Amino acid sequence: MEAVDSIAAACRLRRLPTGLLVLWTPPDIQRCSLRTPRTDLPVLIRTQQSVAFELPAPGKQREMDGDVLIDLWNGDGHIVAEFPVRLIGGLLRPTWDATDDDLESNEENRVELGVERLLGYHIERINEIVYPSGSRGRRPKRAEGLTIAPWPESRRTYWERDDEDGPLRLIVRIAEECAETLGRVCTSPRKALRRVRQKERFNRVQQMDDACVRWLIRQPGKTIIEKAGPRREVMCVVRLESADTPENRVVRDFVERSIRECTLYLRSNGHRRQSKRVQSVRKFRVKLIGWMRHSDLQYVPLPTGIPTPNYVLQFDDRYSVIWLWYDRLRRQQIGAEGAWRWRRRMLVEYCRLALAERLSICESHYGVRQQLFLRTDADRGWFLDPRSELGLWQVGKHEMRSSQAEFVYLLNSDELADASAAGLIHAELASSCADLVLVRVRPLERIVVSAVAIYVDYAVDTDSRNLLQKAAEALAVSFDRTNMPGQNSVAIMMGDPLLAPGMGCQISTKTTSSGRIAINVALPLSPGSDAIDLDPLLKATGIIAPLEMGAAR
Amino acid sequence: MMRNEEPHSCGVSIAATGVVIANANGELLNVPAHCPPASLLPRLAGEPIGTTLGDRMDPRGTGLPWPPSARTDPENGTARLPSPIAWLGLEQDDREWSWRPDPIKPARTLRSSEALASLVDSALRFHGNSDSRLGDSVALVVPNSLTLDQQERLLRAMKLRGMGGAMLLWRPVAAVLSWLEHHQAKLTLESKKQGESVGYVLALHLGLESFEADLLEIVSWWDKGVQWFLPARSLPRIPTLYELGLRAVETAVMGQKSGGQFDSWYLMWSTSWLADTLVKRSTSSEWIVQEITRSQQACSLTRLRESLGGKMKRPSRKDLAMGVERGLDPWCQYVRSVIGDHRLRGVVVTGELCQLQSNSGSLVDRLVESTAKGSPSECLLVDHDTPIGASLLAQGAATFLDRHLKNLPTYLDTLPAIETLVMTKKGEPHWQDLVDRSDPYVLGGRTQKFIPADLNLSVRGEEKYLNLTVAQEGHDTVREVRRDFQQSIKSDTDVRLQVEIVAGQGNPRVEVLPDDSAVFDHQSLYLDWNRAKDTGRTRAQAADDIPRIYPPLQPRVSSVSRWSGVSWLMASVVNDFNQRRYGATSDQLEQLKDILREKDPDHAGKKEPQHATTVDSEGNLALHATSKAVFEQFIAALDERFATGRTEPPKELLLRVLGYCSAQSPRMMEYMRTQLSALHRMNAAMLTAALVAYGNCLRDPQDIGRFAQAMAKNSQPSSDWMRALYRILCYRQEAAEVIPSAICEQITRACFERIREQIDQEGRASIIYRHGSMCIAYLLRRRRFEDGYMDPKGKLACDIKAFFERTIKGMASRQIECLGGFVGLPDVTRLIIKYIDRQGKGWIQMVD
Repeated sequence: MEAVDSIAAACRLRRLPTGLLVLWTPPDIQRCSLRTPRTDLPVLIRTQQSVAFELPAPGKQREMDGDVLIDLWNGDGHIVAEFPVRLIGGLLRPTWDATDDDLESNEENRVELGVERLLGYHIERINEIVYPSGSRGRRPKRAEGLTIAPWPESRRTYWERDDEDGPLRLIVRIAEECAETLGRVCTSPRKALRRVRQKERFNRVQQMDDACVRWLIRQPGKTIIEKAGPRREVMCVVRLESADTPENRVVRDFVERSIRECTLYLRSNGHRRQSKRVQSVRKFRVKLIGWMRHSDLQYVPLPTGIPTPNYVLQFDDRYSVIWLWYDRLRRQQIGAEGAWRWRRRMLVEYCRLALAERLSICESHYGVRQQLFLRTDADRGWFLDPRSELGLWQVGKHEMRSSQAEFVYLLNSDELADASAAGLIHAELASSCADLVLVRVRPLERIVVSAVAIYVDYAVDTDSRNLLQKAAEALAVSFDRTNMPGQNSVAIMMGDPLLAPGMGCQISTKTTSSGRIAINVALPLSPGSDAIDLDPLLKATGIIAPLEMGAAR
Repeated sequence: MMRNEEPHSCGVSIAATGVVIANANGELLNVPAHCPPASLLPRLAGEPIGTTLGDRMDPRGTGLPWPPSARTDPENGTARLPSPIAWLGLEQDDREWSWRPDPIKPARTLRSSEALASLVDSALRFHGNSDSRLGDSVALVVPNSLTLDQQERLLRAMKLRGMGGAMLLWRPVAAVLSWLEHHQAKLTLESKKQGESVGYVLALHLGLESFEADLLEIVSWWDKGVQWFLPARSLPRIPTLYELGLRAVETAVMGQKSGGQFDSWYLMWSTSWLADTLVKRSTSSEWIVQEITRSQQACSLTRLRESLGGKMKRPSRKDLAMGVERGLDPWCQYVRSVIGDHRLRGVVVTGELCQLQSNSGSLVDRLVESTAKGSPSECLLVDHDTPIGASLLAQGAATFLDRHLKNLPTYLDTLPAIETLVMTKKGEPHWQDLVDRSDPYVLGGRTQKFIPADLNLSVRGEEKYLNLTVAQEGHDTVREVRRDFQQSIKSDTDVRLQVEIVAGQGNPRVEVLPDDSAVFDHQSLYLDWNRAKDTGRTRAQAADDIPRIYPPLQPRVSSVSRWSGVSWLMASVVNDFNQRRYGATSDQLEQLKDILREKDPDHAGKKEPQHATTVDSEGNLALHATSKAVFEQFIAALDERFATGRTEPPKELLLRVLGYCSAQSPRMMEYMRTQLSALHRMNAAMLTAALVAYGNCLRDPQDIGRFAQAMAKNSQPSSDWMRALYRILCYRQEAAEVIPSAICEQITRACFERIREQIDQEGRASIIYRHGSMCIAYLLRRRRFEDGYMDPKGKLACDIKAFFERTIKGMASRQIECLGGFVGLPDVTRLIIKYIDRQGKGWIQMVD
């Protein structure tokens, strides 16, 4: 018991200069997990002295009001201690039954809507890469449950600008490609004959079972006519047509989810009344509501738990189409719920793709082949598998065969320790809890030209905005206290929901007394390729030389 | 067929500096590459195999320190498999390469054939959009020494990647086809008849993975009134030098970089260094030339051939390590000796290293000077296109495929040796050719069909499979190919094999044809080469493992050590005879008799024990024996004395001594012949001595026949009789031919009665049992000439087998006492039963 207490006592909750809450545990703790819902916490850094676990944002109101319990696991797979934590974050997911006026009425909701929009965009676009629409060419390759997505096509899909006619969201594709099939199913759903016991006039009785006979015996009277009573009805087995089948329950759920998704889409884009996509979604919503009112499906209950496809859902011409879209929609909606809890990590992934996009534009000579390994569902906010081959660009004027050939690596937080061991980054940088590290190196000469530690978070209110704006300088000063060379700079990428769409990134640069650069980047949460103009960041930190900026491919 | 409906064809050549595609018109299609072509091992299970073709660098296996998948180290391997290494791997029984991207997950693997097929596929895909039918028919240029199995694996890998119509073409053939395109005009002036030779072309390939040379005959060929000049390929005669170029380039790249092994890998296989160096004639190319031509005095041709085992066989890595040291001179001399007096019409040089220049001149000039000196210089064709060394080959392959699809003659090839182990009518195993190789050449790309005769194959009733033991060219060991039937065969059925083979296109297609097609429900059954199992046995071992229907000959061998103790005694006897002191020689002859009879214990202790005495069963001394003249004088002296009819020394003693010498003494043989009809009148001592001589010396078939008839008259043959007969049978190959089956059976029956009498009455197995059993066993050699002799299910055979079984049980329970030697009688008796059942294997050793 004392040992358990000592472990719990050795754990510390600390906030990084960016405001991120981190749980530090002794090094023999292998896992930390939220008790409800059971979720492993991601490891930020693991050193010989301690391990840092990232905490999620609260998902529900009660998690904001009270403590949540975190279990600490040792290497043998046993829980050795529990640790109560009060989660911080301050934002709850907007509820979709609110009216438009409610949503637009106060600033907090605008912030939530902005975050929700970014998360929706990210999930939507990754979904589009994983399940490309028919016009996008070849079917994606899958291996080990992951989708192998070549980076050139993926970046095109991810950053494709489609806002002119309203964004192409999943619900738009459902409205365009599935409406007709769904209409046919709703108007004439598949029905099954069900055996039920009910009273019928005895001249219409066709079948009786044991229960009917027992009922009949219990009735007063001697003859059947007497037992049938004045209504001349006896209990018998009758076959009735019913739409309550597993596949129709799925259809009902699909219709309801689609209505919810249409509502969300129209709330965001309903003002574009001339947009064909908006019009099509609006019409689709009207149809959905009509089908729910007039179809037999309104009496069908919702499925319990996660439905598994039966034979009809897999192979029936109509239902198989619906199942595919339903599966995607359900995954997206559930993913959005999970993403809200891990919204910071999803922002990190968004920033990673944004930096990759800018670096791909600045690439020189031969391009480097990159490919993403994508999960179907996000794992604590991340769709990209750690084995994804993203994060190597050749830059500079020297050819690859030259010993002075230069490469830029974009390292994820879980790669920092390995990269430090390979001599790619400074050891202090590896333990700095950075979300991303950009490093420009001459690998054949083992020379680091420049490196930048990037921290990512949302600025959801004034306090957090002020904190993040000061964090870059504070971190740069803390770097000065170590023996890290001056070419290691710091950048904060701050997701700001209040930045107006179309404004682009707002970047400010400061230099510490020792000459180390600290950069603040405020990212608007209205996604799109114009919102990620990160060239000043790359230029100021020396990752890309000014002359290399023009070498757009 | 309309022109636009013709299938598109192309030739593909994979070199270390690039992949080249040539279409039917000989135009080269560019395959972009920023580094040497290589296959990339998949990182995820189920991920497609990648390649480095294209204008983008793939980080996998580059040798950079980051990302982790780029790393290359001996422990975890590398994700990158460059094409020269893949070619080498294909010739190492399709070696599997592995890479461990994650320490806790299983390693990813890739076979060399898959890697090469993926390169071809990837190269074709570059032109897939503009010419979607390009991949319909592909001819890939392959090394000249690929075995049937390696060809098959490569073709299968290509088929799995959607190139079902792919064909292979030998590298020298592709080169000479290109040479003919350039220089055919000079040949057309010479009018030749069908099949006549117009000279030879030397094809040199200076590739990174191997230096290859082959001399191809140019043959005049008439087809539909049109004369063609076709290259004719024989089986490779010149050993290939593996890895010489690769090691030289590795040394050169180490000279460029001092950053260690990983940087060398990066520079060589992940950048354009190799192609740039080989084209630009930089300092590095001088390095390479110096390295290749270095230490030319280091070894002789003998060492070269010794290290290659005298065969066209892939040497071990240890040999290869020495290969760098060897230099080229011995190889060039060998090539020169193969060219000899052949009329050389030209030389064609391909390969990545064919443009190497140094201060002292080009490598090609030096090679041509040392191998093909005197050949017409205007007929030298060197591949200068970029990517270097592969363009001529691709064009040659495209020419081949174009002609093949138009049903025109392409080239002439030699069929490989494919043999199967069959039993001859004399019951001996024999390697029978499955393909008819009576014609020196067949048309390349055309299917050849054979139904080999004399295979004597049959499937016995209730059997569910047919098993063939096959020896193929390029394999040291034999393989077993099995064909399972859907259901067991109802009755014994003779089957034939129909073999279809296309030279240079993998394994033959072998169909099993029963005499009655209803046996297989009118279905076609083919041997499945994919499931062929390597037995690990050589051809001789496989033949030895075949069950025999009669025991093998067991000749007595001669021993040098025994002779050294005998020679002085013989010399003494000869000396006494010369001085007419006959009386004094009797003791010496008695002594000699014993010594000559004694066996050399050294030979008996071997794994396959042999009887070895001073003189072998053919009457010869050991090969290395000294003073052989003494022996000849001794035999001559005894022979002369034998004719005199004197009593000193006694005649029976002379007979014994001459018998133990297996002498071909004319006077003794004459005496023995005359006595064959009067053996029953001989006294016991003389008969015993005569039987020793008969057993050891009788050679003439007529005499053997008469001896057998004499023995058949004896219903109670003594052990001496039986010993004499079994010695004749186990020493003389054709002895059983002259003994009719009836006589054999009669003798067998008499021997059987004798041994049964001994076992039943005396309860012991002594010398009569041993000699009688040997007689029964060796009389089975009559089956060599009459297959039906001693039917295993016949009454006599069953009686003998039952008796032997009973005897074995008696011996095991010690009820029957084994006397007269240390041989394990139960085991040998069991072997005799197996021989009676036609399932024997090995020698029968009944007496020590």
